[in-house]
Amino acid sequence: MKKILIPVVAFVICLTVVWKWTMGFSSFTVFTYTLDKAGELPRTFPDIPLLSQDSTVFHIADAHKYTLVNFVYLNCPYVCHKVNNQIEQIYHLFDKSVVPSELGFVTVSFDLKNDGVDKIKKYRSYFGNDIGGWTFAIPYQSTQANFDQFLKNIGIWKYSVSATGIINHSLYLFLISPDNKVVKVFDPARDSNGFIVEQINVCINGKSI
Amino acid sequence: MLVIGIITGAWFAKRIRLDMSWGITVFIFIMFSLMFWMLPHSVDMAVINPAFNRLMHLNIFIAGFFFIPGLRGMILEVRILFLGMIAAMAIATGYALMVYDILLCSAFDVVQQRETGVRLLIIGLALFVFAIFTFFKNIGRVKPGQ
Repeated sequence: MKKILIPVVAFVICLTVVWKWTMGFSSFTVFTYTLDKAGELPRTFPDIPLLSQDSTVFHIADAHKYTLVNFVYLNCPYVCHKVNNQIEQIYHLFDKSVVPSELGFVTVSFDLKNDGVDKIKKYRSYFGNDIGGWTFAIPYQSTQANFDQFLKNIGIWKYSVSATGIINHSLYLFLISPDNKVVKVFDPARDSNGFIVEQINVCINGKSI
Repeated sequence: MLVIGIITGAWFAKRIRLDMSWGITVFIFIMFSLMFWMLPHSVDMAVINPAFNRLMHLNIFIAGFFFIPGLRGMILEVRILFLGMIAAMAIATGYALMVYDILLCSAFDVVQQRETGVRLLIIGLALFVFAIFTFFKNIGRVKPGQ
């Protein structure tokens, strides 16, 4: 009996460690782990003052409509622009009766060191003039530590590779409800535009998902 | 660290006697150690957190240390199963890293991810060949009814 017990106990211990580490075999990357650690949906979207491309200070909670939020940095060599191009496509898939009255878009830069108002304003202009309701923003009067904590609370992982200056980060899109709750999280690398639009429409039309 | 652990373990192998029960326990420990450090989350933490990095080195060294003593005291079937499972795990992980376009570890880039995948695939295939070699080398020595 003792002979069987030793490997069985070892197996149970090892399995428990991996189970805890992956939050029940569901979070295998640091991105999914941070997202899962932020809590189950729906959860309150943490508040932070943001500064728009027009130098206006605003809070996402004050929008009182559905808002699709994503995080990028403008020196990103590739993936941030790809995600923003995808958001641009999603934006144009919505009817003008929905955006901006019922749905807003907010793209926040998390590069406090390099991205200023002028830079995000110029970057926004690359997407054309007919993108009313899509705000580009930077954190307003926020320290790096505060902002990092804010990102962590949302479920965004960010890691700066010091050798290259590249910031590796989560790409998730967060759908915030009018009562300031994260109701949906989309992964633009996996979810198609059609799926994202469909899910947002379901939320806006008030159907249960 | 794994290779250093294996070499060190091989040195002490004759002095360490593991029966079937402890042998299987050691195999479970090695399997889970390798699996744990193949998880992208673990890799990221090892890069970011120095204490976690030390833990990884220590864990992998210990896993390597018990590799040869574990293999020596084990019956052929379990030995083949163990080697086959590690080979399959390495091949599957290597292939996934090689073909996956999405960044899994935030401390590296996609090119490094693919390179790691190729190397892991090679290691897995080499282990698979070693498992087959071990099987055919020892199958003749197994007496009927054993």
